[in-house]
Amino acid sequence: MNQAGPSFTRTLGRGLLLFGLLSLAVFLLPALMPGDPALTTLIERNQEPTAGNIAALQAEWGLDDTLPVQYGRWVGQVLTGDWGASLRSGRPVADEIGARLPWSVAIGGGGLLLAVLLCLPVGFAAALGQGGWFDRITGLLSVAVQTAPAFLIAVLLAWLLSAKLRWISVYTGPPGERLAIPVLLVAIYTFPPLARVARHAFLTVAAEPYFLTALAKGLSPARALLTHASRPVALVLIAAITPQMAWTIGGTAVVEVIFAIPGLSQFIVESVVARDHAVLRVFILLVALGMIGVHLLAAFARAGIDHRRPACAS
Amino acid sequence: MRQLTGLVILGLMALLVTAGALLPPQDIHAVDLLNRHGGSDPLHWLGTDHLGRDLFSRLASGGWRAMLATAFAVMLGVSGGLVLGLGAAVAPAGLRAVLLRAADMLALLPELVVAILVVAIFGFSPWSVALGIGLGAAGTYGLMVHGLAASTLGHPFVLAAQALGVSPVGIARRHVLPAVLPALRSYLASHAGQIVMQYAALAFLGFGADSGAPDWGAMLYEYRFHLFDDPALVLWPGLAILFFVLGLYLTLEPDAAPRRAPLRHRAPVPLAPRLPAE
Amino acid sequence: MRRLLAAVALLAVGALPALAQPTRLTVGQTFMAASADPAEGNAGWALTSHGVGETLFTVNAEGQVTGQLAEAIQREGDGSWIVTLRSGRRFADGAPMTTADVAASLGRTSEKNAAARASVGRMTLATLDERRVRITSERPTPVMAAVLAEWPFVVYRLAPNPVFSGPYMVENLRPGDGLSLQPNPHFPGAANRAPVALKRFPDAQTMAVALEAGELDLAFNLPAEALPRLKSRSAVTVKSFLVGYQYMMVMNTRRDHLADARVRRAIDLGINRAQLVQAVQGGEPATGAFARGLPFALAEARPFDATAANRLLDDAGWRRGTDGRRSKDGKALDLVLVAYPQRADLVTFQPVLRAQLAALGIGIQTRVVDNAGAVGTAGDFDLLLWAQHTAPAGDPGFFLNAMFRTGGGNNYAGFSSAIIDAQLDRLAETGDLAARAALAAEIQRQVFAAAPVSFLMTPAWHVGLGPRLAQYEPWGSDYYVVRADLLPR
Repeated sequence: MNQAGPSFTRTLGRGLLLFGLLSLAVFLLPALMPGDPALTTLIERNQEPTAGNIAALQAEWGLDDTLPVQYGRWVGQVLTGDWGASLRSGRPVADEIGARLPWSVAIGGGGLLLAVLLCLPVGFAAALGQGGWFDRITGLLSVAVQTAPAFLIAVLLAWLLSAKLRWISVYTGPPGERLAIPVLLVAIYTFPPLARVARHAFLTVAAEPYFLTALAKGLSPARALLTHASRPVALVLIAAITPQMAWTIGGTAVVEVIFAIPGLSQFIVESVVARDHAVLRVFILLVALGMIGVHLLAAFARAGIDHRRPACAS
Repeated sequence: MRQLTGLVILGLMALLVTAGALLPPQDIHAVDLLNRHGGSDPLHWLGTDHLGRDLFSRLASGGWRAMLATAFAVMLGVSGGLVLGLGAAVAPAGLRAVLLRAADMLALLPELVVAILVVAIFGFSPWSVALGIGLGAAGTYGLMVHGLAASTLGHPFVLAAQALGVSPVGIARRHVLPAVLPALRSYLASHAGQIVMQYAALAFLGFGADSGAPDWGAMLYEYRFHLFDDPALVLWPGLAILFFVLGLYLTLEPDAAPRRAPLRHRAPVPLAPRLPAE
Repeated sequence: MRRLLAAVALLAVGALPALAQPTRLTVGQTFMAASADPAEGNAGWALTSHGVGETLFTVNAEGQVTGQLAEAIQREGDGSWIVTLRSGRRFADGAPMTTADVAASLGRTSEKNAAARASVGRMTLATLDERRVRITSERPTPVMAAVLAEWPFVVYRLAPNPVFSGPYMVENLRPGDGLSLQPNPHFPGAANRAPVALKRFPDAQTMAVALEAGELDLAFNLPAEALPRLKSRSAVTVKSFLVGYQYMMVMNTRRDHLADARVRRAIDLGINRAQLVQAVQGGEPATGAFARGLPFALAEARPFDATAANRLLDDAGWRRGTDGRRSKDGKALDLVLVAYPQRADLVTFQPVLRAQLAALGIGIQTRVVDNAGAVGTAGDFDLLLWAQHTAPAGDPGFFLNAMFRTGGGNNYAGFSSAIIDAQLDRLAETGDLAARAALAAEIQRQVFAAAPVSFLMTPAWHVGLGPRLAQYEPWGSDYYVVRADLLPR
């Protein structure tokens, strides 16, 4: 544990460096997209995109300054906690994102949690030698989720449960009913890789000398596995989930569109089409910050679980 | 055996798609509004779509684009990942930090978001989608390769080779690459089909799909409204993607671990490959 | 369990006659207000469409500009206008609508929102007495009533948040998701109105499923492909209506191949519009720039004449080769046809047009872009499929000016005609509506002759209705969806 301190600082330093680089990239990315938000907005509003009208909108949004001036202003704003206003709606970006983030986090986080809960017994069974069906199921599922486009599966599921069977109100019901199928879908799509990892981890433990010793002492295989595998399996799973956390911040656009859930991912897609620079910049920054946070958390969790290993082994 | 099956599937598909693309039974652009949603007949083997175009010809001509775009994304992801990961493993500390940060940055953003941004910048085509997905994957591969490579580099035989004056490139090629490739292959097996899906997903999200240049993902998108009234339109491109992904999976996935005796017989269990931390 | 409780509660409430109110209606739409302040973005548009905001003038079901909050309007000698308010109108909080409210709200919107300055520049308003307001605009207009019918000019009262005067008031707004509306108690007939839950669907196919599931009383703008399935359901009524969003094809006159008006006219003549209508399963062939039924629309559908088209191309020097494709001086007649996915019908048109133009010997390459406006403005196309509402405020002047005047904001064709510019100048000075309609017709005929744009079709939108709203009649595109006459059975 004594090693966790300095390496945590190192991770934080790495994070800050990353953030600095990102802020520049983040600022420049939307500016690279062909198309002018003022023009797009005028057309969408059925107003004549005359040079005067375009210039007026650009002035309103501060897009008439040079890029370095805009960058300086933007960094200054962000550092003082002012994220600016959405070009499209005129409302503060913080409000717009704040209203939508919980939905995306619920779908992504819920789906991941469900996938983790499902993959543990599967890995466990595999290590106990009862996983003969495992390869086939995971293999099948892994091919299936690469083959079946999410939007078709989603439409079919929604149609089946709401229009055909009328079990739940998928679109206008309480949040629980609206989120059920999206969470299930994310779980289905993240299950195969996690199950694979869990199985590897359980099998590795089952081959360790200390595990065989435990068996020799008379523990049943299941009990021995439960006692000895929890820590290493948790470590490996945390590592495997970390990159999957992207689901919670931007990966669920298709599902959100189909289930008419006002999540962040869907909002970002609309913002790209509208070339809403203000929203896009804050979003990319948030994703980066979020992922840095997730990596930090994971490093912390690993340090907490594994006393032998320093945090941030990568 | 599995690999052979996979290769046979891929080979047959390539053959069918090449034949179909070189000698399409029908003009893929021929619109026939009097024969919409037509059934299968000698002229139209799989029937016609909502504009009366020949489904089989479109499927065949779209196959190459889907396959090439997948190959492009995979190559980009793997080569980018190898350069980042191997480079970071053998490079001096300063360069290593830069390479790892770059890999971090690419891996941080959700793949779909990277793809959307790339498509918004470069316009919609199978190549820009592949570029977006390849870039996203390069980061993940890079971190993975670096993890594997770094552990390999710690081995005594590598230290010995270094002492004998073998160049870093030589070490990377002779010792690190063989350790890294199997894991990459397995990762690819479960990842390759996503390009076609991502393409469909992007089209669905409004980043255009040109029906003048069909490919399987775009066809899924174009025909999605007919999911209920003419499911065959969605089924055929879906099946094409299924076999393509299945072929890739069987070819790339390393053979399943040899059958183990169940634990209760206390036979030693082969050590499963240890997964990289990140 | 929660539902059961809610049902019990509803029953209990329903048992009290004094509190009886029709149960909530659920309306599905593909767009909704992002904000409840007309000074922000295009909130004014959405608020009017949701039955919350009202403007001084409005466009009725026949496409005519009529008074809503205003009773009359009169032009003064100095180019300013005097608007007379209707008496007895109240805001949703019960406060009577005064000329001071009108002047303050329109002045604020004009000051804060660039959208409100797009047509006539900044507006200055001065109250004259209890009923009359004087409006002066930066740029003069002959048709101030039509300008005041544009969506930015919603009248409201700041208290301190905007309070409106329409048949409904916003109870709560969940950005991107939906909003709850309550009947405005101070709008006539409030007792017959039900609360409305507005639900946004980013994907129209999803909305069709929701309607099929019985979750919606009204689904606005359904995909044509879903109609056969929905019509087979006895509980669903589908109504289709023509909308003002004309589909057209812009021809880039700056390109060598298309600089010759004969080639453009040949393309216009070679398009079989009946097939386009068939391909998207709804709508009507275009008669010109405006949807049929509008006072200034032409009556006859644009002609389809392949023989005349081929002759024009021959005359222009584009000869057919042995493969049937035309070329001149060794250059093939190959054109790039651009569409954008935000209007799915335009993408469906691409293969159909490609086949039709191939029959004339023209080679077409299709391309899909997500920022068609920028592509149009940059002139980076040969043929551009375009959808636009051509009379958003009930007047032909806006669209004709923007699309055909030399240097106009939507003049993607790079077109310039001294004749049309002169006609547009006359239009800008004509206040009489019949004279404006006649001039608009003249300009359209001139456009047909030069063919910088080929008008393709007037689309129909499809509205699905549950049993409680089966008598609802849609009109006015997406400008007026929730209206005072949205009464449950």
